[in-house]
Amino acid sequence: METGELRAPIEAEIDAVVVGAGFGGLYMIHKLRELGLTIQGFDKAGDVGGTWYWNRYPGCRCDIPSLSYSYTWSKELLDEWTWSEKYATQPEILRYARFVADKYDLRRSIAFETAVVSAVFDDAANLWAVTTDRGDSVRARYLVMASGCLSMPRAPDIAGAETFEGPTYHTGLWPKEGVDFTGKRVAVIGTGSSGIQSIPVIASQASQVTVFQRTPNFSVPANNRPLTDEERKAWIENLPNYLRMLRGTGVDVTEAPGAARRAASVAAEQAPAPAQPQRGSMALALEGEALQKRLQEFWDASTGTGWLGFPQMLVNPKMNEAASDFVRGKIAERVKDPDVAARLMPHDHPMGTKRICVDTDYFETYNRDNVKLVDGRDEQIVEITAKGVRTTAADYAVDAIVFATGFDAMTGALLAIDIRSNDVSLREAWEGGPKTYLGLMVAGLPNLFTLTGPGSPSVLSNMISSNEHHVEWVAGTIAHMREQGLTRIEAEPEWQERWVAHVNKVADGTLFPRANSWYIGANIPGKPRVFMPYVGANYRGKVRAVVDEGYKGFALA
Amino acid sequence: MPIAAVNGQTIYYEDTGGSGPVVVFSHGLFMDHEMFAPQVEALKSRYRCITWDERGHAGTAGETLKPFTYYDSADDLAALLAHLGIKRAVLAGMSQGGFLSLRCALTHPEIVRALILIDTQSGQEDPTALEGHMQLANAWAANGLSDEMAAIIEGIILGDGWDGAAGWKAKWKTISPTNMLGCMATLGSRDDVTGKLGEIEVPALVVHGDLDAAIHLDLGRALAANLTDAELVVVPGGGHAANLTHPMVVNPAIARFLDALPAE
Repeated sequence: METGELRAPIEAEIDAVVVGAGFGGLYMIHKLRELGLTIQGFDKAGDVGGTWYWNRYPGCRCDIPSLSYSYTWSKELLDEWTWSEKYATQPEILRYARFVADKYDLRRSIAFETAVVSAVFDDAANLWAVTTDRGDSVRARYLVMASGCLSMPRAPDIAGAETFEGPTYHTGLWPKEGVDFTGKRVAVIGTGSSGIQSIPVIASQASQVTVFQRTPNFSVPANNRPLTDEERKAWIENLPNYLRMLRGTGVDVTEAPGAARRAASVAAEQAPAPAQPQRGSMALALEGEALQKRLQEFWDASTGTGWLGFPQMLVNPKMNEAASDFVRGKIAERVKDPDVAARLMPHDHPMGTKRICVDTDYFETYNRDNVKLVDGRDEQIVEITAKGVRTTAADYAVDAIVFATGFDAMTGALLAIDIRSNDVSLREAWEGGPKTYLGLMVAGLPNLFTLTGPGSPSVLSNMISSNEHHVEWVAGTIAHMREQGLTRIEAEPEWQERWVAHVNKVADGTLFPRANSWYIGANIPGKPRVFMPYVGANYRGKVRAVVDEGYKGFALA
Repeated sequence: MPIAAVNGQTIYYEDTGGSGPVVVFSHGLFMDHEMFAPQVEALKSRYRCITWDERGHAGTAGETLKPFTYYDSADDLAALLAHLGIKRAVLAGMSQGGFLSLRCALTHPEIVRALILIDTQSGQEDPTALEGHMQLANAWAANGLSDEMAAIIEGIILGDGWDGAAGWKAKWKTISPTNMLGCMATLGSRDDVTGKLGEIEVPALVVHGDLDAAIHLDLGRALAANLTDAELVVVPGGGHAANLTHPMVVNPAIARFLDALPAE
């Protein structure tokens, strides 16, 4: 664990390497052990938990309800673990990860405080040669990247950051011992999920908080509360049916979902003119009082990310605008100063195309005397000085700086490692944006699996559910290969191209590409702008169909 | 109370009887056979009207629900008609009822005389809404159907301010989590049959409310355009259950369509 101790380098030839000991890696190790594989796991952290190990900033919670954000593969886990609140805090989620690791004795397969540096495929032997920053050298038949989607924290390249006399923190690299901001003047840079969660808590402690906002984001109230025993019991009782709903019933899909939309757009041109007066395409599905009533109902039902289920939220600009207007109006109700309220209202993206935040008292925080908003539309950060933050308009003297500036999402952790085969280097292959087949494998990189990779629903889904899905797919695939005496699986390039085109096409059928979000890589200067998660229908059904048809699109040998 | 034990199911149905041509009505998600009361009332003097409760719903629902697809529901319908000695029928379906009716026309073409497709489509659920739907479903399963959630569902299915809503909301509160989640699984994972619509050759009437917030009018238009022989009737001000909330527009359209069908 977190010892910082030196250890002897590992040299071994084994069945599988698993990179990452978060919720993907932990379950992967467990499943591969069940298959009798020899395994070596690695994680940069001092212990398990991944995202929930690193993001210890004040106020950090998951924005998916705790009962859902849980493993479903172990009845014992469900019986033995008790979530306390509707939305779990980071400390509780980390305790859960540790509980899982304890219960299934997973740590003995994991080398902590170890970063994987390179992975090179030996074509003749069908083995990955993996090296780390601790001098380890491991050769393995299979390489599973459970390295996470929000695991490469990034701070903007602001001139002078190194000259600041006080401490700087990144929310994704928060000190384990916590930070006491009592009596301090704190600059918080960033108003995404991490900023929105941490600012209210920091403001309650610090003497002064200055928030530097580039663009405001949508946030809805968490209305967090303790869970009841009835809710926990009902969740376990209904789990089999919830899983059925999650997994679907395995109906084969041979037509891409885009077919329906393509057909709709073609057909709309060809449809005979009906007798009654027609509304335009993508008109408001609801109007006037009916629309306002529905919006209020959604607000009251308080489902957070459930707003994505508002009718046509992500495909119909007019419906989205109605919802966005409504939520902007709610911001106005929570902030006393109308000028500040206006500055906190997002206008640059349709609601939901950037992740909708779930907050506790974020907007009310700006009613406090000790909190000031610096609006990026009026003044931009020029540099950091020894004493604080300098913008185009003023100097702000502070004692500490917090970067709530997010991550190089979905691709950052994979590209940090030099992954290559004879034919393909991941970094070169992904220069124009990530390409995968089904979000699970990359053509040219045999026997390498990416859990929740780009090209799968990933961050737009419940990540524990998606990790379970991919872990079970990988374990099933490896089991199949061992049964059949196969030693190599790779995605075929033309099937990957088709999948990538399909991923882009379904994204283009939505409003998602209209936002400068981290979903599209817009938060990192120079990162290719490609919408990374998969938003097509029945992803699990499609993956299942591929397997049912003999791993269609994969070459096995 | 008639029950047909067919295809492994115990199906509740109602039959107006008589010697007229048969129209069978299939309801939407969380609805039941009663949603076609306005149509049955208007047509029963000239047509034999069958209404039934689909798997996981109302009189057909049990304590357990095995995973099923709308192809299974289509088989249920075919088996029900065979049980009643009906060789051919007009299949009318609203939303989910339309999903199963389309599939019945694909897998049991010999029993389908024509289609009446109300507020339905041939494609799949909007995946961007999936996480939101699952959260609502989880909350329903865990806590029971709250008034707020019932209002949301009312808005989606019945539209705003319809005076018959209270009775349906009361019924929704009696749906068990097992059946609710199982039926949502079937809905959420259904296949896309758009590419197969050209195989359906019988006449079709596509009825769609222009304020249908669950399935947009464009998808109804597409359905009509992709079927071989379809006409589209748009219901001004109609929502997702246009036949229930706007029978004064829908009933004449249905009657006209039925009357114009070639004789059996």
